[in-house]
Amino acid sequence: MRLTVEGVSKVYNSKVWALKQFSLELGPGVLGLVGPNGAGKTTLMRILATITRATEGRVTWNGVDAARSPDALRAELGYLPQDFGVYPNLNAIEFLQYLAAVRGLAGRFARRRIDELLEVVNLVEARKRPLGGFSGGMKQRIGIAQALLNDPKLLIVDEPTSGLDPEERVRFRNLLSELSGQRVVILSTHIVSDVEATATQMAVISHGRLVTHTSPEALLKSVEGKVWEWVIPSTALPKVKESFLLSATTRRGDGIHVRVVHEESPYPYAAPVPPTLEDAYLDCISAHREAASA
Amino acid sequence: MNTVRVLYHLARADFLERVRRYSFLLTLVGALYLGYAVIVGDFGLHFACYRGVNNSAWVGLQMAMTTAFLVSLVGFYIVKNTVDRDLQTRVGQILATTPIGRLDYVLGKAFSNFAVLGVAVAVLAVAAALGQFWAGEDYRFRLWPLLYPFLLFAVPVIAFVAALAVLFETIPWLRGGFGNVAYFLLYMFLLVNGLETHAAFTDFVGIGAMESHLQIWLFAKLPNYRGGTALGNSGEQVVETFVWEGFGWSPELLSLRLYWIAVALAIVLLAAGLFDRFDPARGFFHVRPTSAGPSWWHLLAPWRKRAASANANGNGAMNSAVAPKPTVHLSPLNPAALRFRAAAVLLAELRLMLKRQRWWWYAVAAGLLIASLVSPAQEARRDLLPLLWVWPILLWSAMGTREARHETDELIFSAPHSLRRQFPAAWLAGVIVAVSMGSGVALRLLLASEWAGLLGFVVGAVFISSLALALGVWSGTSKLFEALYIIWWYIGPLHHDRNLDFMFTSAQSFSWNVLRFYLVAAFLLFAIALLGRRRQIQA
Repeated sequence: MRLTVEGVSKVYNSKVWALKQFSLELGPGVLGLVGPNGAGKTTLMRILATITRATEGRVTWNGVDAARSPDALRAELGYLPQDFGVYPNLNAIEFLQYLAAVRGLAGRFARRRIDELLEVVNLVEARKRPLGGFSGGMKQRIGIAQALLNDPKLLIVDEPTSGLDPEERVRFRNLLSELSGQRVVILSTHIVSDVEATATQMAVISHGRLVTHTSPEALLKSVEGKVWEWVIPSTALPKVKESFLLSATTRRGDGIHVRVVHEESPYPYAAPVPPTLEDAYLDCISAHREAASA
Repeated sequence: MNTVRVLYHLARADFLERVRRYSFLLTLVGALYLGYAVIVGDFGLHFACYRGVNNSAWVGLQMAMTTAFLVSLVGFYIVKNTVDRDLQTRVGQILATTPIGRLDYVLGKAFSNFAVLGVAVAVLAVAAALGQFWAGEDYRFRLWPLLYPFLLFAVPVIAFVAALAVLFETIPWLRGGFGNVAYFLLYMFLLVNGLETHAAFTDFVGIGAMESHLQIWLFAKLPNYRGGTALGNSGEQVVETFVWEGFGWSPELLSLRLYWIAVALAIVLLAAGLFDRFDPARGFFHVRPTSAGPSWWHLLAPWRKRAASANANGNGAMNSAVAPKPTVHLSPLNPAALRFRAAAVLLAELRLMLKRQRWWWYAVAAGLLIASLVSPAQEARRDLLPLLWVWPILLWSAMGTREARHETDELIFSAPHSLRRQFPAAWLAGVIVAVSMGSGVALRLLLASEWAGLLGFVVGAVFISSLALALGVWSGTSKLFEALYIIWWYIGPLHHDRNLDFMFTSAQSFSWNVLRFYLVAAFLLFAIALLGRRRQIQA
């Protein structure tokens, strides 16, 4: 199982480059694809899911060119788009049966699989209600279920936890971790905690370019000893924001606890703290922006 | 002042959103083609064998009447999407949270509709001016006589259509395909009634008013004129021309036309009253549940109890955070499960097509089917087949557009071989619906050994499905098929026009050449639909 992305670029309307020379090679495991809004994550997901074609470069799945033979990839693909709809007059079972038929899943297996999936996404009790009456989170769970219908070898999920409540988010993360052993999973998100909980690899994307492709541990190591915390009065916050890469602020009784990423101690009373993946991500993006503007 | 500003920006934003769409370009191309057809004489105004000399007044009148006649029909389908777009894009929910009033919103949308249609009318007014010089019969250009017929006939028509389109969109059951069909029937009623009776309250196009005023003049000027007016391509040979310098000041004619602007304003007021402000629970047509319910309601008590309990469970699923559930493990799928079955996809497509229909839809379909089974073959074919094949119009019009409409395209297009598997199944589902609806007629034809009629029946079924799929895939909206099909159905099968009768409703309307034409057209349309879908998949 190998997914290869070789020098992929995508241009819209002959002028807007959504992706530029993006390369990546993936085996089984969960890749957390993170990046700011408009970085090109969804464009990359759509190219990998054969929804759109790359302007340059190529994508291969187990050595087969996805643009030339998209059905080889599609046969083993599970895809949850960022934005998708449902047929409002069908219920959950009917909608999944329809997609199972379109995906080539034989009837008796489909029914069993759908029952199991509805249990996995916690929609058993709502399975016979028309989808038109589902909440956003419930629709998202139907989306997750349909992506797993054919037991995909390549699972691409774009912002899968958006709209899910905390409990469902944890359930989904656990499910993703469980699935990751036997397949390639690409999780695109801007919620770093999702990546922290599930990803075995991380790719940071900014302005359509790959900034880094590494393990979460390696990314964390890159900011070790560079994260600081101290307490400031609220009036000093604008100045701190201006001077440092601010990772978090917490308002408490003694003032504002600020957390910054900086090479050296930014303030005499600042204490070094263990970094989080969010600190590492912010540092990585900030360094890329500085390098790009230089 | 603030209201004016709100109206301006509401109409402006909506107008800009529309004119930057590809479909608006097509509208302008259509308007230009219409202008060209009038200029070269393919479409025009005749009074028996007389026509006016092509001076400013006559070309203005001819173009304005053509515009009023056609824009009143096509224009409705062009502009009837503005409230729906706000609903689909969820912009409506944002607008609903602003202080904007219902009347402001509806009026802004009507203005936007008016502006969109106004651009088409303006294009045709310019075409009229060019047409005068193209014809070369009178080179004296006079602006007012050329523009006045546009103001008199085209402007009230587009005001009426703009307002009516908004009204249809504010009534939930007229917002969709049913409204598209209903408008055509309303249009035909108003047009025919207006032509026959010249009654002011139905003559919204103004043909009756124009005819009344011009005929008085014609009777005085042309001793041999015995009456008769034709708008379009009448086929009648024009043997004589007359010089007409335009309408004089006529308060009566003016008031007849201003009446339709007043009607348009009244419609906007009505629409504002009915508009639900994007809250379906608030609309005028929303049926509010009562605690008691009708008497027969109690008979359903046990069923309702079960349904209520299921519903409560469903709601429980939404509030599941209260009782955390353990993660369920997913077992691997047997590789044998991944075996494509065409019948399964076809059944799924049929279910998707038929699912949203209510019981009364099936009741009418069954009634028509039974009637066709008990009627003699010729009557069933001539009178019932057109009804049987117009009833499922909304099923066919959803073909090819459903994926985009419900945003399921990425889910379906990322499935393997969707072009080879799902697409033909969707087409075949359309054919099956047509064949099933007409099965009574087919059986009667079979029993009567009407082989040619039976062949025509099959070709008709295939043609309808191909047409629906092609128009749906390429236009991305169900409206084009609904509008085109109902007009075609009215002229062809219902009035047994030999060339347009794709249902071959009588032995007289059947010919092998026409059959061949529709068979080839069906295959071409299927191929065009296939190309369109391929383009969507490989975007």
